[in-house]
Amino acid sequence: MLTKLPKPKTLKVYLVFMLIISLFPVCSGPKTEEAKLTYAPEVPPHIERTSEAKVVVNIETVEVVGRLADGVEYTFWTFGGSVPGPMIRVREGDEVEFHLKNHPTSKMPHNIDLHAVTGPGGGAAASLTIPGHASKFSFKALNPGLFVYHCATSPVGMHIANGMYGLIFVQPKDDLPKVDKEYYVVQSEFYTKGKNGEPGLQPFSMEKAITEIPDYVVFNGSVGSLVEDRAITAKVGETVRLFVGNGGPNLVSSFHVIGEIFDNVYTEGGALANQKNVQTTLIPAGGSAIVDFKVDVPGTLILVDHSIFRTFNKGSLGMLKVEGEPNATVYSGKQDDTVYLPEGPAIQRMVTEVKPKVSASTPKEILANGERVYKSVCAACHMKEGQGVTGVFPPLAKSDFLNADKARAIQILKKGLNGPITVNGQKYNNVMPHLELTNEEIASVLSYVYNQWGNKGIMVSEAEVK
Amino acid sequence: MKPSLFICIFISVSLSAEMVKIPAGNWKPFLKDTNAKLGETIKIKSFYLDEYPVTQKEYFEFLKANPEWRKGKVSSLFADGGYLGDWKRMVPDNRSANSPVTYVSWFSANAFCQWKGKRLPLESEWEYTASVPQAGKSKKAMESVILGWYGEQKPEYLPSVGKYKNSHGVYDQHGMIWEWVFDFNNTSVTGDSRQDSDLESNLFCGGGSLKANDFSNYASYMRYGYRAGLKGWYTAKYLGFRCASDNNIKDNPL
Repeated sequence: MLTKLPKPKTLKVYLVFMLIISLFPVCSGPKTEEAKLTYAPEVPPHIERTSEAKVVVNIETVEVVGRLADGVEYTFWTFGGSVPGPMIRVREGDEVEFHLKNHPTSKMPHNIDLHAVTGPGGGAAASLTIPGHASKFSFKALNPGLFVYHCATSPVGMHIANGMYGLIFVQPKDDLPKVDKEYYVVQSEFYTKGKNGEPGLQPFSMEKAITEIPDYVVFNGSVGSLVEDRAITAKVGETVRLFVGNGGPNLVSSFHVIGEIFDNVYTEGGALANQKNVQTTLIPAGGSAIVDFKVDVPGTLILVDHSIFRTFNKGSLGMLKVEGEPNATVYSGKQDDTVYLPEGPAIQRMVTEVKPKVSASTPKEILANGERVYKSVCAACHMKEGQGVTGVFPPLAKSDFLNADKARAIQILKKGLNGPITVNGQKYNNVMPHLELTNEEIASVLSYVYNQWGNKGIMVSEAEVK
Repeated sequence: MKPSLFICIFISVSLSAEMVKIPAGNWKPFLKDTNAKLGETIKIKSFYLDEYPVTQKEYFEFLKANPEWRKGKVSSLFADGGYLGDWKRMVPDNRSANSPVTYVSWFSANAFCQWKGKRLPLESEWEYTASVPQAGKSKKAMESVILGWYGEQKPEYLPSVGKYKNSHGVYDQHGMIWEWVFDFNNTSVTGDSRQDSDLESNLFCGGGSLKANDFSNYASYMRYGYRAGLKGWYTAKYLGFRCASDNNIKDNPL
């Protein structure tokens, strides 16, 4: 039977329709889309489609000088100009077309080994790229889960130590339960020629890297990248999912959130929530974990590597600020209690590595030294602006306790403090460790604190400390 | 071309490109390849190597005599689009006249050396010479020069040659640029490269530690890794060259 010809008007519509169709020559093949990459702590949006697609990923390797800690700079080798590199999200079964571009100003050749790739080198051998060039390779995301990627150009360890790692999440076909907030956190360590806190541009130390003694252990590439105004946030009642990676290169992480219990842990970043009600989860170097939890009460939760000296002395401290109404049933007025202190109730001696660079004589030099000591030793607990953490670490800003008695403040820094005190009307019952600062450091850091944040503006001399 | 620039190049201090005699000796390659077993030493015959990397000024002389290698003229088969990418004009910037020429391809470097009556050094010759530390200093000191270069701030202009000298009197093999060698793809290509599926196994992850003679020599991995990423027509910001020869070829001072 002959097909009846359409009427002229219908024919016009038909032709326009065919023209549009002809613009999509591969409409039978998978849809092509460009991956939306995000920088930590942001996670790429949930993939809503339920079919496979071809996903194009574009990442550029760049070597940049950036901030490792206050006053400390480092030449980072990066994916996408940041440490960690951008987070990639694809769906199980997707075909990923990867474009690795090495910026022309780079000195080094770079490549990428994605642990999500099934194939030799995880793509490394196919993506070795010298400066000013670009490589392309494709892979099928066969296995769902959270995977680390890193540079694997020789010497592999050095490329990783300089910041070349990130995460790719292969969203399972059998999707994870929806949550309200998702965040991207990567722990890693840095090995510098100078000791922790030594200012200036710090070269990489191969010796310390081989002996696995880092000067910095950090979240998201630098000390303090996840605190205060850069803290991640949630509201009471929301569910939070953390995609946590460990770039290494050497240390394994005892990942813990102070004041929370993980409701679900996808151990080692697999697609199965195989454990419930977990306090600390182990994340191997070159590995990951996905943790979910509901936040029930307001306050600041502290992200740490519970190998705890790293946290308080080398930088692995982040914050999740939770806003909302208190819930006295879940958490009552027990804020006098110590939250968690691995050092125990007694005052510990803690050797600090921070030495003033030069002997300070003018008030300006003394204050500058004090600022440096403060930022490397005190800011982890008392916070950058001296605001403290309510109920846990007393504030130093506008502190009635501090301003009332200079001699007492000196003694606290010399010997530590243990037991209940009241600061600005709020009770604290905690331990401040003995920090083993030199007299000069104590004088300068106290002078600094007294001259900050609305305190009474007095100087403390070295003689007074003696 | 601005006449003033042209003159500046000619009156700037000239480093006469002398060659240094490298004595014969035994050398243990950093990586094992198909020709050498792990730990085996290779005999290197005596040869001559340029004292300095080829400078921008010297390269400009080459372009004057060989216009087919000028920026914009060269065939894309022999140099990629980045060729002489830091030259804003047809001449080098006066501030970098004595800096190493970079953004040059293997083909152009090879042509330069031939024009001089020389050749590119073999990888083994280059590495053998580069493995010698500064006079009175250890290999560790040399390694720290290399690692220091990896981590330092990038200068706006490459420094003039003559910064770092080893005890043979050869300058700047470390701490300034990468250099082309004649057989730059020697390490990664074994046998027939079209069929070799295990092409770069020497250089990645496990391969690096299974096949290296000296695990502590991290700085060397990078050079082998870099070379493995090259093709003959590639050019790059920090990639230059110098020439070698079996005889001492005296240069007319430019």
